Amino acid sequence: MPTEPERFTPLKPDVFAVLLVLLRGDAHGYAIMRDAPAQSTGTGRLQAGALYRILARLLDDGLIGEVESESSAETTDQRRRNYRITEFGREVAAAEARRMSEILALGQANELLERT
Amino acid sequence: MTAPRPTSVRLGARLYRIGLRLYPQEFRARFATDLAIAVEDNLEARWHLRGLRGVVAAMVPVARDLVTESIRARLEHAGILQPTPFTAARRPDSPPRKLSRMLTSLREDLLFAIRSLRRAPAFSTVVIATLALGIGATTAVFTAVNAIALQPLPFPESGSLAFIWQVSSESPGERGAVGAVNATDWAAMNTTLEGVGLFRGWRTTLSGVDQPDSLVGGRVSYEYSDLLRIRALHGRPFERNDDAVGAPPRVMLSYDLWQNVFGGDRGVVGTHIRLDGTDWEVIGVLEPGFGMPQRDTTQVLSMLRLDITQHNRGSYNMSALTRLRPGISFAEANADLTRISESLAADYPDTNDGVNAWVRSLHEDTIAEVQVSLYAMLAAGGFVLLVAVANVAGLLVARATTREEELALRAALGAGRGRIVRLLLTEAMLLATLGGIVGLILADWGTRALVALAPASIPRLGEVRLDPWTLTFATVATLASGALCGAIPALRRRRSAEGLRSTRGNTAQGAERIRSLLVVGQVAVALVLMAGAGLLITSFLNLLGEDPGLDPDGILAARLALSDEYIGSESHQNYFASLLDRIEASPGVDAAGSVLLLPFAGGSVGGSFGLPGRPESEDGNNPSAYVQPVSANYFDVLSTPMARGRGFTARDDWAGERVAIINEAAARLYWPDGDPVGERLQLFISLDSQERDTERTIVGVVQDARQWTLDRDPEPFIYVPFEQYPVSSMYLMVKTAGDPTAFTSTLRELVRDSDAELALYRIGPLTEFMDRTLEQQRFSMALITGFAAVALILGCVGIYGLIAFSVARRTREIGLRMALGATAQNVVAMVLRQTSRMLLLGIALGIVATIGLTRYIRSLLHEVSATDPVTLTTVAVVLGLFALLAGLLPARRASAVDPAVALRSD
Repeated sequence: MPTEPERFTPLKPDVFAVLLVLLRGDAHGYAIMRDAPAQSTGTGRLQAGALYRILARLLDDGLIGEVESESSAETTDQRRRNYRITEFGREVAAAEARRMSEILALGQANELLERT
Repeated sequence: MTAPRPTSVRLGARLYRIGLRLYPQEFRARFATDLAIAVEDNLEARWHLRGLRGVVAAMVPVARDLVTESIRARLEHAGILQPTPFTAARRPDSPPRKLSRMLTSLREDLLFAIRSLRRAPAFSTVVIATLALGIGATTAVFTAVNAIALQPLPFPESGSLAFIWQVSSESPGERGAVGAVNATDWAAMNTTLEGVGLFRGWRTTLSGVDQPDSLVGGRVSYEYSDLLRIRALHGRPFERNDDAVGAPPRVMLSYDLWQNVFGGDRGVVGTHIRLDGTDWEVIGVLEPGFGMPQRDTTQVLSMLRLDITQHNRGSYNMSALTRLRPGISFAEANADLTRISESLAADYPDTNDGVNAWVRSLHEDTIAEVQVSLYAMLAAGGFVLLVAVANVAGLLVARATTREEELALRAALGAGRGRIVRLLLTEAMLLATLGGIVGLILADWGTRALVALAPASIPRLGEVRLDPWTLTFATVATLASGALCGAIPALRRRRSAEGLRSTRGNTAQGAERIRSLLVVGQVAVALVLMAGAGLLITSFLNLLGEDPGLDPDGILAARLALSDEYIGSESHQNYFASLLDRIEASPGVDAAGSVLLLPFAGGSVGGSFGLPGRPESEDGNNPSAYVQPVSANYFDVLSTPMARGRGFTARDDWAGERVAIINEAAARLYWPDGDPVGERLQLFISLDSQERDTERTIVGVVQDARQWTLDRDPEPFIYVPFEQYPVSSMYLMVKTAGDPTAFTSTLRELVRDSDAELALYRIGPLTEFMDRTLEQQRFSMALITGFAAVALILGCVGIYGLIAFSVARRTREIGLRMALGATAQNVVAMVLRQTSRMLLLGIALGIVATIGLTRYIRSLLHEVSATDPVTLTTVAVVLGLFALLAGLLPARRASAVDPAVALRSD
């Protein structure tokens, strides 16, 4: 896909959280729900319906892909679909991280962090 | 493998799976399984952390997520909402303060309601269970009725599809078979139809596989396939030239047949299979779930390949399907075909005089026969819900009364009147919602049970499942129940919320009046239901009491169709005769007979006949009767006695004199004054050719027997020996001394030994065939009786609760009366008087309502009037006895009051 990763930033916190989980390795739906860090959205934990809406969009836009679940120790259940981040997904996540660190740098320049 | 999941997790996941139907189909197809697994995992994790509390607590955000996300998905699917972008949007402004204040107070009310209901677990359980029963019952029936009667049929643009039936001017409402020649003219001359497709049922035997099997399906014209937009999953659908005269035999297989018999092998397309001893090319596989309209199953589909020039205008053996052109109404199509029929009648008066065509919507035609019972069941379910709601409203009124002081205190401390009303409403809504959730689970089970128990003669059962409509209906039923239950105590509260001044006695009395009215309503509704049930039971007993005119016991029946190679050959005539001989020679067999159409197995063959010596009618109004080719011992096997003359004998074979036996109905109609024995008749059409049958001598009159159902009166029949009237398929009937089903495998073997390419079908005891004609009546009777029983129980619980409440309130008064000399009997009588007043009023109202309502089920009743006084009286007495019993229990307790204790009470 010829789109540049920056088109997707700033990422919603939930979306970023999902990508962060997948950066650590393939995961099925519940594992993503379980491991996604609770974000400052005020809703707490990511719920299944919201998660799958995000997954649907990520799949459609090529940020993640589906993989046949391997019979690893954790996923014995063949019905589960696993998701894997694509190269493009990595780029988007990296772009978001870069954006955040730039903001962070901006904050440091203003001595925000030291004051809190 | 993991350990079995706890019940609460499974229940939660099950609810979620039901709820998943809120999502659009596409999203569901993609993610439903995964979503359900993720939620189940989540619930299980919570269970391990905090047990049942954890599961319940986790269900709340899960439910919220389900509702908001499914709505969003549906809006996105419909294109109303743009798919959410990934990029973070600016946060919306905080909602207006008024809304936020309202939400806060709602939240407080809700928390308060939860707390106060948890303090009264018994009360809450009874209320939730009662509402769940009502909502569950209504929702289950609604689900079935909706799928069968309200949803469009599963064909593209099914609303414009219709059947065309041929009707005679004498019986315009009777769907008659269609003549191919007439249908060709309709197709050519109409201006309102897209086309006219012809079809016939098809029973064929598949051989050349492990076990020859009888298949059902249809022979259809190309137009039929085109009008239904039949498509192929693999291979190709039918094309116009497949339907040409002389085109090679080609067949489409159903998805299930392809899967089960051919292992889902795509390679079968293009190969040949053997049907009825002929090779057929498989051109395609039908889409999963495809079935011809109004057929239980469709396994194979082939083309009619009609040569219309070979068809007689007077022979009718097809059915016709059509599709209205866009913008055309059924009335316009009917007018169009009436015009054509009149012009055909003018051109061909011999055959077409009085013959009309009737365009009837496919939907209406499919459900017409069951519509009344479906709606009766839905109404019965609704009545159960009404009784449940009245019960719960009564309980809530009572509860509000006992909380009088608490609520008055709240009012005194500054809670606005509206706030208190809202509190009561919130409580009712909470109860209703919990009842609705449990009700939904009950509805899920109930729907499955309905489908499993319903007779196969009810159309579209396979389409019945919980769907978004079910959820919508359950939600509406829940909200309406909550509003109704809550409104009654809340409205009362509004009026009497005067604060602490109001004395308990007064408000309790007011509460009692309202509860009395609710009980009166319950009694009335219960009576309507019980009357409906009573009428259906009476009707069913009347049906069972009908004399079938034959003895079905000990008879095993099975149909056998000969393959094409037999037709017209000499072995054709001998095949059945020698098979019957061999069956009769088997041990345990008393007699073996055969008949074209087994009693109670459906189907009909008939036509007009002439009476030599009497003038043939010019206008086509010749005598007509149903024709049954039978074996010589047919009447002996069924124990139907001869009324006059003789039965058939072995000499009435092909070489013998042509003979016939008529039934009493035919004798009454066509020989009202004389003895028909010795008279002659001539059937106009023989079954295997278009020529007239030879003249026959009537040798006997047999007593009437029922042919189709127990409630259809005997009609004229002409019986002929099958040796003199060859047919290619017959029902075998084997009379055995013991259990007839024990002979099944022997019968199969005998047939296989006679010809390995033949297969028996519809095997079963004759009693079962007869029983099946009663299935539908039995089903509606059982369902409505069940509902009536539930209503009766709920009604009695309502009476019991009210009387117990009232007696408790009057403890002092009762103690005083007893101190002043009243006996225990006096007290019981006093309490029962209160019960009987409500009861009599309720019964009176119920009878009025019954008389108004039962006429809608008149078409379901056999030999009993919709206002049958005996049934109504019986039902009222039964209801009265139960209700008095419910009132007697608290009355007896009241009479046991110790005056000294009672007077000190309060």
